[in-house]
Amino acid sequence: MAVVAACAVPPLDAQDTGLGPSGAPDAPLVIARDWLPVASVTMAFPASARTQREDLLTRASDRALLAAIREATADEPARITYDRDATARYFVATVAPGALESVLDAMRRVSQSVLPPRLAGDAVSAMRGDLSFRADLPRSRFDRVLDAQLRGEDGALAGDGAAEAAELEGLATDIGATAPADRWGPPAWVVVEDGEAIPSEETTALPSLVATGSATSPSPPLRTQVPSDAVTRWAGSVFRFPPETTLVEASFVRLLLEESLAHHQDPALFEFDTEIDARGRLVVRLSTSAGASAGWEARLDDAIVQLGSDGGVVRLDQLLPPVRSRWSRELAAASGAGRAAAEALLRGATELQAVAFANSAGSPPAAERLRAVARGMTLVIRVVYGSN
Amino acid sequence: MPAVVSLLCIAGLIGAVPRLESEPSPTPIQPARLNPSDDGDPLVPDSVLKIPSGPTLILERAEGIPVVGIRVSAPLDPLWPGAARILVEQALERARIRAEAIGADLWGGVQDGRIAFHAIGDAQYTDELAWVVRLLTAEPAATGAGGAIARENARLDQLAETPRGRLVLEMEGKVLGGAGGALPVPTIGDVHEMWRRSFARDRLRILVLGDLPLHWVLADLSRIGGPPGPAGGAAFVPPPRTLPFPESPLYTWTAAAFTLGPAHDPAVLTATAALRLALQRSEIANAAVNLVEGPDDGSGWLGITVRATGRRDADGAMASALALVTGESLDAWWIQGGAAARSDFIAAASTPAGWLALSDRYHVPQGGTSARTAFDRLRALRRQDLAPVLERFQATLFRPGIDR
Repeated sequence: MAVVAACAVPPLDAQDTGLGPSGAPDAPLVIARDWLPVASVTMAFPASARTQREDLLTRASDRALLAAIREATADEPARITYDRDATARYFVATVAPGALESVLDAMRRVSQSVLPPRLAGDAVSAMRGDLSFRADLPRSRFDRVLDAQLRGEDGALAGDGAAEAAELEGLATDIGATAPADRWGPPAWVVVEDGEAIPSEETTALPSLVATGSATSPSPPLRTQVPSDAVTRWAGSVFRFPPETTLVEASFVRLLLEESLAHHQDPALFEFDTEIDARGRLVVRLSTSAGASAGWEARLDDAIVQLGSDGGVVRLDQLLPPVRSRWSRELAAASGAGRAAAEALLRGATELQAVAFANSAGSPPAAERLRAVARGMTLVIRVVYGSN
Repeated sequence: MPAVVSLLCIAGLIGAVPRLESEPSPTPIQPARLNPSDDGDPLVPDSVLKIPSGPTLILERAEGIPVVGIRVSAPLDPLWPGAARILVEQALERARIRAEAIGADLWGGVQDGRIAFHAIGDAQYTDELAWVVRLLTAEPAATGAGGAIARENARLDQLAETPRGRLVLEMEGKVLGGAGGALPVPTIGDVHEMWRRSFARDRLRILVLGDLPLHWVLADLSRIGGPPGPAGGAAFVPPPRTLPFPESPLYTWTAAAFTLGPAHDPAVLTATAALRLALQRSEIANAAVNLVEGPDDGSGWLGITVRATGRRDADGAMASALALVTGESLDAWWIQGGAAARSDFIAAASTPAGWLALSDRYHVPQGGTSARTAFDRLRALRRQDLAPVLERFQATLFRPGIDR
């Protein structure tokens, strides 16, 4: 079981639910799924970067760690994948049940060891290649400004591509100086396997994990406009959920918003991506053709208003079935359940709360509650990169 | 056996379930677990039923799973992939709106030599999923196929434009028993004839994954597809036509094609993965070498293309590439190939869609095999088990001209 409080870098707004995490560091939380043909191991570190250099260090170190895990498990019937979002970085092994213990041991051993200089060097070299290709692309500049805002820095001060590339100097040495588990604290470990399930009445009786903190006095949203003559226009919007929104509710509202806007099918919309960040805020990134101008920000704001209203243009009861199916498919796979539980643990959930979150497909939030959450959402940051 | 009891009760209840029999024997009522000792093994189907004049039903019962997945597959009859592609496109379009309404993951295509569809959604929408599957297997309409036929025409033209595409067409021709070339684009009449033959109810295989009772599967899915009955003689398939190949002005291309054996045989999976790794990691000078997958008819055809600036480099690189399919190369790569094949298998089994596809792939009417037996064979494979693979390579290797 991961102990968030023991992390070297407390990264998230872990919620004080009064239940508190339990168990020893590095002991995995086990989720029982006796019907699955495969098992999974999820090792998750918090997405805790507070500076651009820290972010680069995280990315390069993860690349080296992934390569090291793959080398250590090359002979096992396992597939190792990596993903990251605004909450965490996930290393997931999908594995034949008989090889679970050895893969778990290998991942644990690698995460507690200093990464080989060869892999650290390869990772930094690959990062350098990436940066030389994309560092000064408008999309990268937009991401830097928005990421800086999310970290609480002044977005306008976000560095350019050359500054970012300069941050790579000495990175390989830094990676090789400390084992990943020492640098970021013990990761959250989740194993999904054939085993004895925690009785569902134990988890259903729990208070749900709260995703967002207490109410703060409303302040005007922080707006940043970066002019650009690029033919694409990027917009990042950050919304605060109302107090006491649970993690399941926040996840459903996020998916409902995606489903709601999917109905528009606008050829001028190039990208649309949502996530819930470490502080429990909804982050929406979208890009449109420059000609579409500010229409999509207004559409996004309107979609949230519609979700909160009783008789919106797109009714909530029409949106819920597709979202339920999507949520169920995500959690039906061993890797999806493991990832969900790991995310909950990194947000400060107890073991039982994390299990409940990973098993939440069968008990979605009530529509009325989701409407109330949507009604209470407020825009806190908006970054626009491109023409007005 | 509990499954039998359930069936008899339900047969009485719904009044529409005919006498059951095991496949292929006409002996009545043999619905059963494949092997009682496999109780609880998710890689072994819970029940396999053959309904007389009806489909084969394969139930993967998973208590507590939050989704329901339904896969339907049908034989590719006639062996005309273009007609199957049009049939699939029409079916997906027919079912799309209903699937979207419940957020079902909808897929269709030719896989492992069968025409296959799956629909996967939240367990609460089980009845709606069954309706989606009925739409997928319904008779194709004569109208509305123009777009799909135009896209199939464009596909052939695009393949013929590139050396890599020409190799795919050559391999398709080999699969069809010809000497290369491509089958013409089918008419809507050809597509309908394929549906009549392939989707006859008694030729369908329906796989269900979910926390569902057997009677639901019988009641909701046993009557889908077209009327059962014999296919009625050989289907009409026009002869392949030779496509005009434009010259490649900059490079010299060369190609080879071969099969190592049935695509999903564990030894073939291992040898193919070993070849893929060897090609990735071996440095073949002065040329670009690529592995090309052949038609997904289960026969396991593979191709290799080589691109170089001159004939000598191209021939040298091809010789180096083909040398990777020898006993010495397998000695060097088969262990890593086996690990990669096992990893691929596990990755496929990790999603409901992949799990259903594996069950379908390794089902044989006589019983006795399953995804479990395939995986166990994959894990227990020895170097000497790969000998037949090399023999098949030698027997089937040919060198089509793709650079005219």
